[in-house]
Amino acid sequence: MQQQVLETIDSKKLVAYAVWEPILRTDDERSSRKATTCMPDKRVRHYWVDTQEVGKSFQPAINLTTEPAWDVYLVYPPGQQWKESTPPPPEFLMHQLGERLPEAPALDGEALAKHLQQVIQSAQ
Amino acid sequence: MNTVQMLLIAVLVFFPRHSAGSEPSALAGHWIADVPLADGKTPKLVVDLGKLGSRWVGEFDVEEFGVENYPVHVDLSDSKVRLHFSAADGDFAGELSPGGDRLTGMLDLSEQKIAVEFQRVGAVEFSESFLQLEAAADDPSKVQRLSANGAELRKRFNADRDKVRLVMLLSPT
Repeated sequence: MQQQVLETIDSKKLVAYAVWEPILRTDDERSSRKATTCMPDKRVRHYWVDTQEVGKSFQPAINLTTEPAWDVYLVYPPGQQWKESTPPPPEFLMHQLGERLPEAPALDGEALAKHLQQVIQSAQ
Repeated sequence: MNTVQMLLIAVLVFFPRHSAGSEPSALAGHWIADVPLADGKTPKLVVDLGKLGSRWVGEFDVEEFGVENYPVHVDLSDSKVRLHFSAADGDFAGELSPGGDRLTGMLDLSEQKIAVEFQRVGAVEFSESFLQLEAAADDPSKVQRLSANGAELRKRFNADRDKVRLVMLLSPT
């Protein structure tokens, strides 16, 4: 993500939020602090949440029924707001959940970067 | 009963002897084990275990598979030494030998359970990258804690509404 996406987009129009959540049994706040080092880009805000509630709240937005949302990358264009208690559906998403999210494309860093560039350019 | 006997009883009552495997100081070191896999390969599993501050930590390498400097979760909460290799989805549970130079037990790789014996071949050798990660883990400013309802994220998301926002939901390990 850092090399293929963030480093290829030199724009302050882009911000990112990394929400680290407890999915695997070794996930905890200490490991989330370690994980921040893989995305040192200053446009990334790193969060740790010690329940799966945030991940669950994103399930309706991406039509995921099997588990809390994780390993997902959601793109929101300028103007879109989060008004309800649950997050809004993204304009675009990629994931690493395999067949559990069959309608959305698997994560491809180059393709994600290209899409983000297009959204940034169309917003200018 | 004299004073010495009373003191001895008090010591035994209030300071019971630790069980053999509970946080053995001899665990620190550079350990190597041969792991005979079902496919006939026998890669060497190299594990460094040591204490940073009050916490036992570890990292491992399997050179044959290009695995280098991955973290090991160390649990000494009962009489056994338990190691979790999250990158390999493997668990080891074993005990130190009385002399402290061998660590024997079972490695559970979900599809295969393997008896392994680690030999200590030297002092702990943590990599620079591992130590940097451990330093990050001790730095509370690295992450902002979210409420269960994600209120802080929602507020930030709306404050950045003039920008393109990439939301990533991730497992840290």
